[in-house]
Parts: sequence; C-alpha cells; structure tokens
Amino acid sequence: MRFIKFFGSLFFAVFLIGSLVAILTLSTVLESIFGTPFVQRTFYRAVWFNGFLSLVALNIVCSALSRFPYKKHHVGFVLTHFGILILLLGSLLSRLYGVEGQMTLFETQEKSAMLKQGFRLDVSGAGEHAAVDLKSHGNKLPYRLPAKTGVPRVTVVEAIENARVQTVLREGNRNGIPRRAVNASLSSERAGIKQDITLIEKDPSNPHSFFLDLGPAHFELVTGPKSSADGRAALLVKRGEETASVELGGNSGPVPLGSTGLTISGIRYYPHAKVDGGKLVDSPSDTPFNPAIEFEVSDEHGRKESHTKFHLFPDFSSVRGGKAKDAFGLETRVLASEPEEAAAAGPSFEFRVTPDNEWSYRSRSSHGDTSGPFRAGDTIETGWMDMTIKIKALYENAVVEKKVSKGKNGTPGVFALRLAVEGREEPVWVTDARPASEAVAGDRMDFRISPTSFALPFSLTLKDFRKIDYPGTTNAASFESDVALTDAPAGVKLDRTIQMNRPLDYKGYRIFQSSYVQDEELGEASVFTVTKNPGIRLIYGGAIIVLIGVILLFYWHPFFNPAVVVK
Amino acid sequence: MTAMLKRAVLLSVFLAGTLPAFAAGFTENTVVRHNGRVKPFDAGARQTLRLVAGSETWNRQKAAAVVSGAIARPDEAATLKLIRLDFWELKQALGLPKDEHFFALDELSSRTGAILALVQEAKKKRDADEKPSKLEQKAEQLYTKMHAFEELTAGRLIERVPGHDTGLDALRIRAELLYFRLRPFECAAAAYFFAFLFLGPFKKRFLTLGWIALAAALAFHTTGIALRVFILSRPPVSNMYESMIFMNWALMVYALVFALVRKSLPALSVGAFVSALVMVYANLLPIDSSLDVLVPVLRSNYWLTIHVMTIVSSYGAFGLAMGVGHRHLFLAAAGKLDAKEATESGALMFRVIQFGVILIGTGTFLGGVWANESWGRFWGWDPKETWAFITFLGYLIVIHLRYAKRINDFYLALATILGFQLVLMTWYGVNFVLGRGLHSYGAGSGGMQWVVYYLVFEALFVAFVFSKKPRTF
Repeated sequence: MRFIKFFGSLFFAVFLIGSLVAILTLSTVLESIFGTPFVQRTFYRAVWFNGFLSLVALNIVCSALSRFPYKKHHVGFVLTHFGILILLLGSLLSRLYGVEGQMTLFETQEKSAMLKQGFRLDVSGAGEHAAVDLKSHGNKLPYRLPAKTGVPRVTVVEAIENARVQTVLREGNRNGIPRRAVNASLSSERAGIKQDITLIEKDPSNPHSFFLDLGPAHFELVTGPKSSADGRAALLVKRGEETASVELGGNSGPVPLGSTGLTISGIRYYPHAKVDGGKLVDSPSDTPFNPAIEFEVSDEHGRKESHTKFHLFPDFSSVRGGKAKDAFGLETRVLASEPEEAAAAGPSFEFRVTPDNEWSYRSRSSHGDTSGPFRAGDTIETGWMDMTIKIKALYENAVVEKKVSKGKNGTPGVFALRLAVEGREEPVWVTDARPASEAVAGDRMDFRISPTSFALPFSLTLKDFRKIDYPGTTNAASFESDVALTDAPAGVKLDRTIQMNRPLDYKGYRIFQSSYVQDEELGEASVFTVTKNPGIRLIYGGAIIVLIGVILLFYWHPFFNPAVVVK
Repeated sequence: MTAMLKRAVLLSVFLAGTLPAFAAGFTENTVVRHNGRVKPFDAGARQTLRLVAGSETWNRQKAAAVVSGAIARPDEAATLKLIRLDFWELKQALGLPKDEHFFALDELSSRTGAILALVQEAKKKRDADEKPSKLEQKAEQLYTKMHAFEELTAGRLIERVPGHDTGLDALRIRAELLYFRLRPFECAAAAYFFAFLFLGPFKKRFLTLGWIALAAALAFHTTGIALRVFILSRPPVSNMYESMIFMNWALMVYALVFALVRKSLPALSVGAFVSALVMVYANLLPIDSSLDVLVPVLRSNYWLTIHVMTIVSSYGAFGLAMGVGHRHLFLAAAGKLDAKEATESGALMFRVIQFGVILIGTGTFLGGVWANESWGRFWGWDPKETWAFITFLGYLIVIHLRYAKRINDFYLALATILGFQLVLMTWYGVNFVLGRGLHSYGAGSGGMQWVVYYLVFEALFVAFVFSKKPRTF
C-alpha cells in the first residue's frame, strides 16, 4: 500500500514529467549539434528510455489504484489515465513489431523486398561465406563474427556512420610489377564540376578503379596497347614444362594437360565477373571489364581441384580453398583482350600510358578528337563542357591505401567498418559504397556491406511515375506513381496510383510515395517507404479515450465535486 | 482613422470592380503568372520590387510603375539604381561606394565574378552542412536579387496569361488587388491597440469607443484571413507569417468568449494588446508574408489542416493566458490587486490553460495521425513534435499542481509566462534556433534579435515584479 501511495503520488508524477521535460530538451539540443542518429541511439531508442517510460506507466497505474474504489466523479480521471496506458501499450507494440523500409523502383521494375535501416556484412573467402546483420549489434563493439571453417575469423572493431573515404596513393616498389595511376583535378564552370579523380591500374580492392563515369562523361586509364582481338579470352594452365591452352567462348569440353594425366573441365568464362555471396555470378554485360574463368582440374584417381582465375589479378592463387588445398601445383593465366572502351555515347577522356611509362591523352567528343603527351603538372583542355584537367601526380608503382576518417558530426557520409582479420596485420576497411577485396594469409577475401533486405508478402511493379509541376515553374506540385501490386498466393492483383499523402494499404502494410529519381540515363524511379505499424489502433484508441477523459475531468467533474473548483 | 475610411472606400471599389488603368503595357490588374501562380500584375510587381529594392515603392514610384517600366525598357532599367544592398562589408569586397544603398544592375554585373565566387563558396559550405559566413549569405541574397531582376527584364519572371477574366478567377484577382491596398493586418494592429487602451486603462471614459475599435479590428483581421484563404485556396496556417496571424485571431476569439461568459473585460483588453504586438512582430521578423505556393508535402490535406490549426490555436490560448499573467503580476507588483480580482484572474488563466492543453494535446495527436497517413510513422521524435510534447508536459505540470492546490494565483501567473517560453521554442525556436527536422519547410533564419528583446523584456519584467515584494497570495 505504501508502495502504491509513493509511486502513485503527485510528487512522483511531477518529478517524472519534469525529468521528461529536461531529458527531451537536452536531446533536442544535442540533436542540433550531433545529428539525428546520435540522439536516436542515445535517447529515443535506448533501453533506459524504455525504462523511463515504464516508470511513467507505473506512476499512472499506481495513481489510478490509489483512488480505488472509484466514485462517480473519478470517471474523467480514470478514463484519462487508462487511455494513456493504452497509448503507451500501442507504442510498445509498434516499437517491437513495427517494420519500416525503403523500396526504389524504376519504371517497369518489379520487387518483392525492401531495404530496412541497418546493414548486413558479408564476408567470403575460400568458397565459404559468413554474414551478419549489424543493426542488432550496433552498440557492442568489438563484435566477432561467428566462426566458419576455412574462413579466417573476422572481428568488427569500429563502425563509423558518416565516414569520409579518401584514396591515397604513394610510389612504392611492389615486387617489380607495375601499377600505374593518375591523380588529376577536373573543373568545369559550366557543368558545375570541381573534383579530384584517381584512376588506378589493377587496383586490388576495386577492379573498376581504372575508369570513372561522371554524368555522360567517361574517364579512363588505358594501360598498354589495345588489342584488336574480338574480346575472346584464353586459359593457359602450366605444370612444370607441360602447358595447355584452352580457347574460350566455343565448345570447351575436357582438355588434357600434356602428359601429366590431369584433365581440365567444367570451364566457365565470365567477361565481367562479379562476386556475390561468395560466388561468381553472371556478368551484367559481355564487355570484358573483369574477365575471369572458373574451371576444375582432376587426375586419374578422381581427385579434384576447383579454380577461379581473374585476368586483372594474375598474381592471386586460383585455387579455391586456399594454398593448403593446392595439390597439383599448377600455374594458371587468363589471356584476354584488354578491357574494351565503353560505348562512346558521351565525351570521353583517356589517360594513356605505355609499358615504358610514356603518358599521353586522347580526348573525344562530338566536337572531334584531340590528343597529345602530358606530364605531371600540366593542364589539359578537353575541348568539351569547358572541362579542364590538371594532372596532379603520376605513379608507376602505386601503392593504394584507403584513408577512412570520421566526418564532422551531422554531416552525411558513407557507413564504414574497420575489421580485424585473423592472419592479417593491417585492418580491413569496408564501406557501404564499395566492397573490399583484400589479401589475407595469401588468399583473397571479399567483404561487402549491403543494406538489410526484408521480404514482403507481395510484389510491387512501377508502371509509370509522374511529377507534376506548378504551372510555369519546375517546382513540384505533386508526385504520383501508377503501380501494380501482386500477391500471387492470395490471387490478388491491384492497379493503383500512389500519391504524396495518398498511400496504398495492403495486409497491414502501407506504401508511401516518399521521393523520386529523374535521371537522363537511368530513367524515372519512385522511392517508396513501406511500413507496418501494428500498434496504431491502440494508439488512436488510447488518445481518443484520453481526450474524452480530459474533457470530463475539466468540464464535467466540477458538477460532482464543487470543492475542487478553483473559485 | 482616415486611413481606415479610405480602405473602406477601396472595399466598395472592389465590389464595383473598377480599377485605375495603368500605362506601359501592363496595368495593375493585368492577369500575370509569377512564382507559379496567376495573380494581378500589381501583386507580382510589389513582390518583385520588395525582393529587389527591399520596399514596395522606389523613388516614390509605385511598384507597378517601376516594374512595368523595367519590362518595357530593360536596357534603361539596367542603369537605374534599383537593387538594394546594405551590407557594407560586401560593398567593400566588391569595391562599391559605402554610403550608397541602391545599385544599378550594370554596376553589379561588372562584378559578377567576385559575387559568384562568394556564392560558390557558400554553396560549397552548405553542401558540407556548414554555415556560410555573413558575407557569403549577403552575396547569395544579392545574387538572387540580380537574377530576379535579369529574369524580370528578360520577360520571364512575370508573364501575361490570358483567360482569367471571368468567374471565380477574376474574383480572386480582384481580391488580391484589394488585399494589397487594404493592408488589413496593419489596420487591425492599430485598431487592436486602441481597443486595448479603451477597454483597459481608459475604460471608464471610452468604453464605447473601445468596443467599436475592437469590432473594427476583428473585422479587418477576419477579412484579411478570409482574403488570403480565398486567394490562395488553402488553409490560413501554411507558413510562419500566416500562423502568427491565425494564432492571434484564435486568441481574440477565446478572449471574446471568455469575456462574454465570465463577464469581465480584462481578457479582451489584454487579448487586444497581445494581438497588436503579435501583428507588429509578424511584420518585424524577416519572414515571408507573400502569397506564394507550397512545397508538395504541405499541399492541402485534411489532417494537416486540422493538425496545424489546432496547434496554432493552442498557441493563441497560451498567449492569452500569458497576457493575463502579465496583467496579474503587474497589478500585484503595483499593489492594486485585491483578493477577489486575484481569484477571478487566476480562474481565468487556469481555464484558458486547460483549454490550451486540450488543443495542443489534440493537435499533437493529429500531427501523429497526419504523419502516419503521410509517411507511416505516428511518432518519430522530430524536434518540432518533441517540443510540442515538451510544451504540453510543461502545462501538464501546472495543471497537476493546480489540481493538488500546490500553486496559488500569483505563481500560476508566473507559470503562464514560463510556459509561453516553451510555446515560443516550439513555434519559433525549433525552426530558427535548432534549425533541424522535418518541419523546417517555410522556415528561414534570422529575426533572433527580436526574440531576444522579448526574452530580455520578460526577464526584466519578472525581476521588476519580485523587486516590488508583492503579496504572493
């Protein structure tokens, strides 16, 4: 009884409300300094905040109990406080079981999953693969990924939400294997461009570093003469003095490796290889940007070795499963034509370098071609878009280092993780903007951060997106999307239009138009927010009960107990 | 008073539909498109001249004359000293004479390089989420003025549109012309001030005049709001300016109702005084009072309208309570408050606060409903909603303490003033001081000095009251 009296007392209520005012004031001030994610983490989504709200609930329950048994004039009081409890219960339900995510759909695209807040870290190497959802572990660092046989143990050491990543180059001897790179600054007043670019030959952490597309403009580092071959590739396998060469593209059945008794089979060619989930996946295009070959080698006793060989990374072992599994001692190489130049739709600029490190450029656009030699420190007029290029530094044996630093509080940036990997001294940095591929104990490991995906019980297709402007301006008056929602198991197909402030409801999910993309190359896309808010009915109901209670309390109550009225 | 009579005459002109013709291509009532809306030329010209020259007249000429002249003879206009620039550091940086306040486009165009350099520096900082320096901000403003002027003389800013001369469209055009000539809110502010004097301090001799002034003020105020709603076809609470005007309209409605129900004048005279002040403040603050279109998310929506109107009218209730609180404390300090009047004034403040709490609670809840309908989350601890909640909680403490008879009328009066500081933070501070969050549309920056003056005044006032050692009964 004393317990109920204390926790239900007016003193305790005023103390709690006063504390809440102070806490919320502090949090909004901190939010303006450190940004929204900070306060969401330290205040609103923190465990202690839930604990505080539980105290509020306790106070309300106790104060309601302390007036028991109720008389007629308690109606308003009881309704008000009971309503607040329902409201709190509803928000708890929404907090625990609510879902919110984003879905970006280009026109004619169909998706049945959305991206939730939070990240997933994928680690793969030696044909093994581990993944972890990072959101639930966001606060407990260092976090060790679950052990997997054959994969070195990975620990998440540091997470930076607004990281700035800079590629830093320095000249260094890399066992005599050249790696050329160029660092230049682009500027164009007309296009509003002023930025630094770094193009790197055979960058181990990003095979695409040798080119950059800026809007319609294409920049590329061209190393060595372009072959006139038709883009075919060949596989060369050596053991001692015995050599086998397999032409790719046609029929590639089992091929014997000289007189060694080994057979090469199961050959598969990927002109533009991508690693996804620890496996090579089908190329998005046939342009040989990153040629790779998968094959198997077997001997007379039926022993097998699986290989993956990348053209751009000749010095990496091709044996899957690490050096330990290398039973046959093979040397492999992929012979391929140099990566083709991208279809020259827009203007392009090539930094060309010969094996003797002679630099020259070639600039192409609809206005014609220009070319010539250059050296570090030169400024080159491209002849298009008023673009000038200042060559800041040239490298012959570049060592590529990623410098990751924390951005200023509240500034946008990429999400970056610092990982400690067993068998590797230096840390591995991986960001959500770019996967990393690093050497670990003589083997390759791939690291990738991707947004957490959430499967929906339906699929959505964007048929048409429209942006409607205020007449005579480019200010948007409204956006709207024609969509088709399909729920195959339920046999449902809906054709609807989603507008700002006019969402689509289906099976407890609401789909909102939250943003859009209009891109000359990619086309139009809608960004939808998809939510599920299971406690909302309780919240609405609770709030209405509170309102009725308060009105009774303020305007009806006096008739029952005139003594309480302030005269 | 004569000014008001003149406006009354204008009202009849509006009804008759005859307006003076104007030379040089455009007349004041030519239908044009400007800033994404169809409006009379006069309105577009006033807005443009206010932007470029900082005032609706230039060299004693009307906006319509200046602007139509500029469209007709662009080359000549470029040599006229029309563009206002006050910030002397920028003048110095551009090598312009310090003692002049207006510059010609030609003069400024020859310095485009230097101006653009500052503008780009500002943009770079904004992209990096940093605040540009004052010099850079002023350069941005200057560039906006120059750009508007160029667009104007190129004939792209204000364009003639045919086919709006009948029916509702034509009526809207005439309503807008009237709105600009009538200046309803300036008239209302003046009338409210007289109402305060004649219903308050001088009520013994001028009571009738007080009622007349009050009626006139309410008429102008209501007409102004109605004109805006009719012209823009949107609820009258879409930006800071409109919300200030609507807040004190709600305040006056409550004051009138409480005065009639409780048969006491103080609510009315105090309400009129607060209203006059709010209107003066609305014109002093650097906020947009123009009739402009809205960003998509604020486009007319049932819940949004109810949500914002409910919240803003709760500010009205808290403003009224705050006014009565000042009166209470002032009289207490002067020793002129007897027990009976103290009780009456305390009851009034408490009733008004109760009503405000219901409104702000309901309004915040409706904001949640709107957020849930618009983007699927009921509550997200956005700074604006958090501060509305803080304000609600602050007054909730007052109500709890009052119910438990822990604060008397004197401290209740003090609480109305403290509580209103929370209102101010929710209403103004979140957008202008914290400057973050979802509710930042239509927000600007600046005007801090006026808010600081108010805060200093309140601090001095409370100090004054306590220095008089009043009976805190």
